Amino acid sequence: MNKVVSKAYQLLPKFKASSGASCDQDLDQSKRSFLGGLVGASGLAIAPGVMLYETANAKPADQAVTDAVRWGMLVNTNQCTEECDACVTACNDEHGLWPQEGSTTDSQWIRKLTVTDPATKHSKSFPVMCQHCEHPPCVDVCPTGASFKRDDGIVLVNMHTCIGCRYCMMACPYKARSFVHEVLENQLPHTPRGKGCVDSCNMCVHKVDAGENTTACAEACQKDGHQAIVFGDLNDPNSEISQRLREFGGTQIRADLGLNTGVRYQGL
Amino acid sequence: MLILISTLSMADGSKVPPPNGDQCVEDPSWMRTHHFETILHQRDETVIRGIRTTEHSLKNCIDCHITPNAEGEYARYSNDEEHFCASCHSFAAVSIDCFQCHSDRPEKAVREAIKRHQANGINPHHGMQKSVSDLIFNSNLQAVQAK
Amino acid sequence: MDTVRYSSIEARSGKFWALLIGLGLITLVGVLSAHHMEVEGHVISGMNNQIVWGLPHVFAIFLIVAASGALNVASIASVFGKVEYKPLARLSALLALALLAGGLAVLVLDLGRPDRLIVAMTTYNFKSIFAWNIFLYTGFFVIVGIYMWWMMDYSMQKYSKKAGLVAFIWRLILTTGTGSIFGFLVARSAYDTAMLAPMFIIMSFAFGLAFYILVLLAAYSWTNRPLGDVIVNKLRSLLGVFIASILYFVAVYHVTNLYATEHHEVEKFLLLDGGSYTTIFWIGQIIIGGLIPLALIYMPQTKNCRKTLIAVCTMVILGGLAQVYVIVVGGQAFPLELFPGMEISSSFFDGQVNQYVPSIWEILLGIAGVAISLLLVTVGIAVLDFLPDSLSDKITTSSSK
Repeated sequence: MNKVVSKAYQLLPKFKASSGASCDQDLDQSKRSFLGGLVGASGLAIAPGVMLYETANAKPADQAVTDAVRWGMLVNTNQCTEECDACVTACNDEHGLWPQEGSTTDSQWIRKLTVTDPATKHSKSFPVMCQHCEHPPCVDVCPTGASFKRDDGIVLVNMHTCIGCRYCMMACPYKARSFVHEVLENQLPHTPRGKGCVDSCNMCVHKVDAGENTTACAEACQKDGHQAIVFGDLNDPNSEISQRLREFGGTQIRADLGLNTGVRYQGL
Repeated sequence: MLILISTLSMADGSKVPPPNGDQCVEDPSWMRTHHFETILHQRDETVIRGIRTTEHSLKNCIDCHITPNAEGEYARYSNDEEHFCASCHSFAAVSIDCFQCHSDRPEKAVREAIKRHQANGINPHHGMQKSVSDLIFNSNLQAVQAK
Repeated sequence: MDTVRYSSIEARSGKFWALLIGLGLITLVGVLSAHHMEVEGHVISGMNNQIVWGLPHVFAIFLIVAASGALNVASIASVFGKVEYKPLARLSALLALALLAGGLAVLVLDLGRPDRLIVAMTTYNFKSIFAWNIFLYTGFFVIVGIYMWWMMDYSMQKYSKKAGLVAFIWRLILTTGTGSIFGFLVARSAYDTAMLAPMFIIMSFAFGLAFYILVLLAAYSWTNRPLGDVIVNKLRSLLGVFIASILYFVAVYHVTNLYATEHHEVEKFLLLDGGSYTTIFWIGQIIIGGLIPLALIYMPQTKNCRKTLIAVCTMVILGGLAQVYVIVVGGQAFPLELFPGMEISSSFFDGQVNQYVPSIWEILLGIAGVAISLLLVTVGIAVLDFLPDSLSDKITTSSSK
């Protein structure tokens, strides 16, 4: 059932005006209402506990984001396996990242972390990315305010103001940020990035703003992985993510720092 | 300023392929005078407030204005005869750094370029240059195989 | 009562021009290195996503900390009323500004986007201690500039004490801010401590004074102006007190960390098995930067020898660079503890000690920072009346308000 819905979703016209359409907003409107309807339908059609997309949280393109919504993710580490890296591949493809294996300078927005308890030898592997904290240390320390938190909880770098000082990279407890060390080419239009600025997981803000209400990693995990990553609105008590958090709990990495992360982990 | 604006209409755009639509979102002479303020204002609206109306979206400008030439190739910003933005900016000698980060052509063209690089085993986004620390500490640096 | 007369140096000898040109060339090479790094990107440097602040930042922070301390000599005169230091005050202010300029030049040239310096100077996030530092540094230039003017302008001299007090307080805040750049970082095990701010203040006292003594000795020796032992020995014993204070702060920092089990890993790394960082800490910072200079300052055989003093100051400077290196780079080399007590690994070098080897570009840039500072001092004393004609014992013991 998941595959049917995601396939249908891919048939939708994408959010751009390149297919000969004139540069106006009609395309947005028709796509949005179509999408809203489809998502609504999918929300009902799938078996309980296996919902793919959130309903009716898309905001109109001409309105600013608000704190009515707080986007977050829940990673079920019990489902992740050591070998699977669907989320990493999807993120790299989506954003135009190509980290060469073993490179100390290539950007990695998401990586698989393997944690082993030295006493018991119990080991787990799961993805770690920017945790989109409510009180982000990277935002506190940025001298120009380029590293900022959007009202809807997504933490990102405003590359127009970033001076490349890398202080946010010093401050992040999760090693989420990467610095672009060389001239870039073939950047994807929805993810501009360039030499001299710092970037990190932006929770696929372009997809979220387009009303897709998912991230590349969550989507890929559902499709090709082990259905471990759920994306949704933490402020909505009826969202899939909120329901799961209520039922199974979700811990923060470095909870002692009191950052109230938007990314939570189940099974840690 | 007026001299600059009137000079801009003298920029030679004869080799720039025609745009992809009936008319621009604004009047061309208004655009000549105001496009930079518009871009600077809109970028804050988009990045900070999440407003993504297509009218003043840079991606939308590119999608409309950067079209393939007769051979089906998309001009790059470095080509100041065929690229829409470059044709004026080079003439007016106003350097911009937008395309250090932003794509200077539509997504379709970028995806094709990425595929071509991957097929040849070349990193599509930056050189295969190893950093100093890689050279010293990691001589086993391998390129990620295209999946 | 002998009044102190000030004059600019003659600035005509071959030695002067050789110094000027030499420092200028070093500066030029450093600026070209920075340009190369800007054009090619930091991939040509030794810095990466694990060690994000490297040798340029070590030099920059060292010079900025020394700048604040260099003003100390003037403060002792203006704020603490020790009149025998009054003739030294003008050079102290000049050196402070020069060191700060050199340090900031290196810092700015290493930015990922130095073309956005205007953005950095006009857009502030005031929760960031870094933003406060930018504000404090530019303010330092203005305040010390005014202080210098009021010291040198006869009609304004009666206000110079007030300016001195403002400058003193400003630089305490500034150095606290510089230390807090690291002290406020909760994420890293070696930082996240209030101790770093006062430790940086004590470091500034020693590094700044070491620079000051070297510049003073060189300037008076190369211009054949008399420099008596009274004042030199006062500065020497002051340096001894400051070096001992640094050792105290370092001891308290490490002993406290050693008491807390949660910090044992990072302490083991810094003090025992951190490889180059451990070596630089013990040999560079403690022995060369602390114990040997202390011995040479207080041992009867060497306590009055000027050549030894030059060696002492050089060692303090090298030890200071080592200390800042261990703090800045060593603090980053120790991996982030996402899961304290667990072993972690990933494709992003989690859980591993991070390696760093500075590239030639960073070394050249860092050295250029020192050259810029010395160049500014050289030009300053040649152009304006910073140096007293004579600092013989007769002058220094009889100076009055």
